[in-house]
Amino acid sequence: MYVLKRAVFYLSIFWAAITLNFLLPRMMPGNAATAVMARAQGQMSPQALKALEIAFGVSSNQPLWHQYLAYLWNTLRGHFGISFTYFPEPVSQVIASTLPWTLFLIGSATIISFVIGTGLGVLSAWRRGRKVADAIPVAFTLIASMPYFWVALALLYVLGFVLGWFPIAHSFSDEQSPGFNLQTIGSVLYHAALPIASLVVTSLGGWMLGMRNNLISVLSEDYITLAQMKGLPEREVVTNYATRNAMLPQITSFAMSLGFVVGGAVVTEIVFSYPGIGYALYQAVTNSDYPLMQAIFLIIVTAVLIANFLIDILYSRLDPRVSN
Amino acid sequence: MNNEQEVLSIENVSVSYPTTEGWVQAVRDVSLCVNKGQLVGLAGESGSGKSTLVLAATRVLSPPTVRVEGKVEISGRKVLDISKKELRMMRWKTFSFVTQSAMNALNPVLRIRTQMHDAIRAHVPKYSRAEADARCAEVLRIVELSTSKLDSYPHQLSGGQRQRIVIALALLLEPELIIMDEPTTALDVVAQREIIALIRRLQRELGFAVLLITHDLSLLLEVADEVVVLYGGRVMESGPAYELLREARHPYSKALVQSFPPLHGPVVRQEGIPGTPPNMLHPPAGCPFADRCSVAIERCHLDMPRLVQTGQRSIACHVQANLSGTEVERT
Repeated sequence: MYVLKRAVFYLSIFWAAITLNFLLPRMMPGNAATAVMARAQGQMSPQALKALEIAFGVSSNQPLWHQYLAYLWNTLRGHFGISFTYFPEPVSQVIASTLPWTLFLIGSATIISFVIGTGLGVLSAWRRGRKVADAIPVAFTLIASMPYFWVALALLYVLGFVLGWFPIAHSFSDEQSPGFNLQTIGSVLYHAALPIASLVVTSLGGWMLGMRNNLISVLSEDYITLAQMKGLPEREVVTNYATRNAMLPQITSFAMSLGFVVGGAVVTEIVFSYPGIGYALYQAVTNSDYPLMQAIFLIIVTAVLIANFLIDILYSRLDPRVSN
Repeated sequence: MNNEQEVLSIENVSVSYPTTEGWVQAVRDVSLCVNKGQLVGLAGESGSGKSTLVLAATRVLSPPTVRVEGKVEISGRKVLDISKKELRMMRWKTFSFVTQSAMNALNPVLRIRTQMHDAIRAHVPKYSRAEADARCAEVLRIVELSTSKLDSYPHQLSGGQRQRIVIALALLLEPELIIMDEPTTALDVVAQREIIALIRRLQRELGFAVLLITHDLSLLLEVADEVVVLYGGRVMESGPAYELLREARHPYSKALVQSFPPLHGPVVRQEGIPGTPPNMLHPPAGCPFADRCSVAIERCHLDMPRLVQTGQRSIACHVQANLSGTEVERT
């Protein structure tokens, strides 16, 4: 029942989001097709404009609701039109070839950072008052306050360019024939190491501080005192009583960031020339590639919604108060 | 003073908190003891140090949060000296707690059953699920709750039910002593009476000892065997409940008893106690109650009266000491 309610809720939000996605470009002066015409600087025939309008679904002599229905139908089938940054590839294909890289790169960085950061947060809160535990937040606040692009560039320059320990671009080596074998996997991991490290180093502090704060406030709860009075082993008090409760807000933030994984870290993919969706979005924006942009926005929205939906379900398992 | 009858003995215990202005002594030189099967009440208003005393004596509050001096024995073991592991093994099995706010004493994300099982698993070497389940059901029956409540989460229970769960939890391992810190504060008056009656009945049937901490002296005088009245971190008066009920001698306990209306009889204007408790950062040189006392003499402001035993009761008061003839100094 709870799950069904949430599903209906998210479906209606999804509908609102794709409708906005449809309306926004149409509220701007001109349309995607005329923008392409302008870029071509008179080298395209009027028939081409017609073709583009049909391809983009922005034909001006069709009523709006007709365009809207066509848009909905196309969206549901995954027909997003043709990208002209990567002309003549269809947008769906561009996304299919870039999205997996982003999911892999940003996804694993987010998970690694969440796990390590949360663990460090628990450690620094539980062992509060000891030197090492008290040094952790200071160190990570320092690191977290450095601008991301700077950290990424510094890592790339020192470890990649000067020392040459890591590759400085792409997702796998040119000499590698793409295929699912150990060598390819090794190469992929090797190429991902630096971008992942840059993301983890800069986002770890946020997870650590968040968890530390949650845990410290949970530690003053009466049920923690009672658990200690019961003579439970310390490990059990930390996991089942303190961390179980302190994790709840942390999981919400995790859901949000998982949703944004798909949007990619645009800066990361630009700095490390990584062929992900963030890089494609950057290309789309600089080339006024409306079909590609629209599709990427749609995918980001979908991912955020799906992540939130999954977390809602998980949350109802973790916190029994939610489902009632 | 040691004898086999004593479950809990607190001897000359002082407790201090560190503050930016130095150590603040919240409890000064307090002694009390609880015998097997006895219900001893510890009374005093907010800030009198009653919770601090008990939590520090059982090491729930421990350094660096507090500094504790004196001697505490529970079932013959020196609680302040044993290792953390020994203390952990003693907890719940030898003495358990019913905490101030049962509302927040239960973990919101675990079922009641889980929160009972973990206590059993931590202390019973041969833990078996079936036996633990049987014991959980038994303690729930004892506190007059349906055993189906074992599969509830705390938020699905009412305040009174949660308080019963917390009591059931305290009974789980059949401890010799249960320390109850204001077990009824969060409840309405009717539920309070029910819980107190339940505690008293169980205590008589099952034979455990209770140290009951409350600000409600009139309630304590009804149910307790022995009563200790604390003020400003010191014992003002102690003795058998029936003696104090008949006649509270210390001006403070007298005033405390008079601040509760009788249930029967004509309506009379209630006398509160004027003033507020002393600032423990700068404790007065004399009796902590002197500033609010209606019968205080000059000496009360200058030096602290010693706790003097007369018959079965002990009183720390210069005025009372002058009135009573025989004085036996308590050691």
